[in-house]
Amino acid sequence: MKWIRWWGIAVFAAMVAVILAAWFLLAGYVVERAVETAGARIVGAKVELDGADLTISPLGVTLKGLQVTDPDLPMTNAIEARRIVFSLEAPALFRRKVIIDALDVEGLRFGTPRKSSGALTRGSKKRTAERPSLPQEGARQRLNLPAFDLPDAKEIIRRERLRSVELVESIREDIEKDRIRWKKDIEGLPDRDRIEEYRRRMEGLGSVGKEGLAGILAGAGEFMRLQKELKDDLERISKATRGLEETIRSYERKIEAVRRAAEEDARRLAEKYTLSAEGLGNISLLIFGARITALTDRAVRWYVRLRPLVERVKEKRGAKEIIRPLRGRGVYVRFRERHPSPDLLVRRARLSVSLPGGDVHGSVTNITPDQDVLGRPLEYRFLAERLEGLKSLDLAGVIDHVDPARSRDSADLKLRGYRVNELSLAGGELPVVLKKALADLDVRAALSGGRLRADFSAAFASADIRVERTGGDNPLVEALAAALAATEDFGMKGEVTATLGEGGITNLELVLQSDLDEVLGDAVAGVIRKLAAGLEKELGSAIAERVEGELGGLETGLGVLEGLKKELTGRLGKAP
Amino acid sequence: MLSLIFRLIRTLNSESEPAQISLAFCFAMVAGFTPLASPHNILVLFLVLIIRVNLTAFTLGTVFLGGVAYLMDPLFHRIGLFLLTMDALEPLWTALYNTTPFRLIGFNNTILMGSLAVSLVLFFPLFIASNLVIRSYREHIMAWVRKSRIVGVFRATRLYRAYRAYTGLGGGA
Repeated sequence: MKWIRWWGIAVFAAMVAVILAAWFLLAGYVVERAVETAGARIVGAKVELDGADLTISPLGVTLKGLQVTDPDLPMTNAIEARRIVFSLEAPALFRRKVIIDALDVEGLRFGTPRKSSGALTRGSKKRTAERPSLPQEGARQRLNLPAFDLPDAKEIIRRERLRSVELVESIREDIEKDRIRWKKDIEGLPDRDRIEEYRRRMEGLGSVGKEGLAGILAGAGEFMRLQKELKDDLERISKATRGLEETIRSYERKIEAVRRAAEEDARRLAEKYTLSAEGLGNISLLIFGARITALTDRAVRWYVRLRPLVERVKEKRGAKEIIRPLRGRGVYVRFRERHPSPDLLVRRARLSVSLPGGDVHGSVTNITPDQDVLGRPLEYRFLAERLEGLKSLDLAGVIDHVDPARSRDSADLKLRGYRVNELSLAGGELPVVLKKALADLDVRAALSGGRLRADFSAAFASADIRVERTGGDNPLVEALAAALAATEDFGMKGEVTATLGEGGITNLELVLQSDLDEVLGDAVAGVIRKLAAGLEKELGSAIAERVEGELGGLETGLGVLEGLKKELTGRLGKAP
Repeated sequence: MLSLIFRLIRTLNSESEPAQISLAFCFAMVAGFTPLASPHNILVLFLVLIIRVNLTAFTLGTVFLGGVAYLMDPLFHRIGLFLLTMDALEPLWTALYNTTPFRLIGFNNTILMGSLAVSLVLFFPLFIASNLVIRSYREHIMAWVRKSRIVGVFRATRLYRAYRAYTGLGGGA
């Protein structure tokens, strides 16, 4: 039996030729599909290409019309590039390495509208299951100022404890106790009959016949004794009268104190139910906070999405590394190389970003998910000058994952003379829009050990800030709108801190200081004072009305004490 | 696919050398178990074409064992990972890792390594076992099958008529 099939060589050659021919013909399509599939997997939304060309000598690829959908806004492209050209190192491809010396991106634009939704279909979503966990999208923050629908004064009085009313109740109880005590005391004092008795007995002594000196002396002695008894009794009555008078006067003072307590109640409750300027807090944080937080949130989400491009999961087992590829089955085990080089490396990318005001040029070096192999971090810098609406831009930064355990990323942004137009800052009850302004902005952000910290400062000049009110009658909004409209120049500085972990972004904190706070605080304080005064007046009337009613009962009790005093005075008047 | 099955049955029933069919199954196992687009399968294809193995058996075997491989991928991954992370083999893998042809075939992928190792280990046992089975089939089973009542019933079916029509057209490895 013959074991060699010579014509098989011809068939094999023919098959290889067909495969190569098909590959050359379909290479563009294959590259296109590969970019779209891998891109969608990384981004989590549609990535589309108008076309791709492959050149053999030199080996290079041209991608045309790249559109990367913003996964949060499916009708918007987060990134759009007119043309991407790069050349590949052919020998490296045989070692399964993609080494790109130079990559040029032309006509890069951000936030462009899409004709159709770029959301992934159900099947495509399944294929993106290995996407990195993204931070939870920050709550859409809306600025809601405290409403100034003040509660009804009578309603406040109904639910609040009033010191004045408590005083009235306490006085009423005391008066009752004193009434009982005085009544009892007065009952123990000589009454009018007893005083009358003195008068009769004294008169009786005068009419009795004086017989001799002894009789006269005895009469005089009796008179003296009666006079002393009378004096003692009158003294007791007089003392009681003074005591009762003092009691009555003390209650009169207490009733005055009730009236003062009523005024104090009104003042206290007015303060409680109106907001102080201090209580309103940092107004600039309320206005700008939502925007800054949203920007931070968005930047972090993109950072997490693109992180696989600068770092991939590697598991160390001795000298070997087990690498989970972005796509494909199985895992790759990496061994020590004689001349280590990353599996994917873009040595230098030149980018041309098309902004409405002109082009921004930048470069990114050392793009690789194997920085630990390359030993160099990714560095980027973008510069622009004299653009329309922007005097200068300088963005530079480093993404350093050379030692993944001690990664340190930083970004430094300087914007000068940026013309802001129609920038919506806050929604809710105070929809603040920065109609126009000239801004200088400095941002310095660093992410290290999962801790994000960004310091920023901004100076706005020739600002036109409007509050686009949607109705309602909030005096605070009116005051803020007026103050903001009158503000032309202001500055701010602040700090954003957050923790970036596996579960996403947490502990996002924003500290913001602005000279707007003083201006707005003054405007708000005036409104608050006016509102507080109005409420205090209403409360004063309502509390006085209630307290006066209660005082009526007290005066009745005092009348009883006055009656007792009159009784005592009457007894003294009867004295002979 | 039906014609391929008919052709395989005819080959089994023919006087073809059992070793040609067995070897085809063995190459099919390599091509089917390992990821089809792997560069080493070009070598397999070359060998299949130049060595006089049965192409029908190879094609059918590759399709069938390729399906089986999907189920066995987790096992291949474990075996591959075990082999690639074995300290004793590290010098070998490191040496291979630093050569372009081995990097090109992606031997350091766990599934490729696992499936290739399994198919190479089973290559000769499968070859011997297939040979025995084919010979035994031809000697004992084929004659019995032809005489059995089930085959009698089968011969009355449309499928058998299609088979006859196909075999009537001829063809072979």
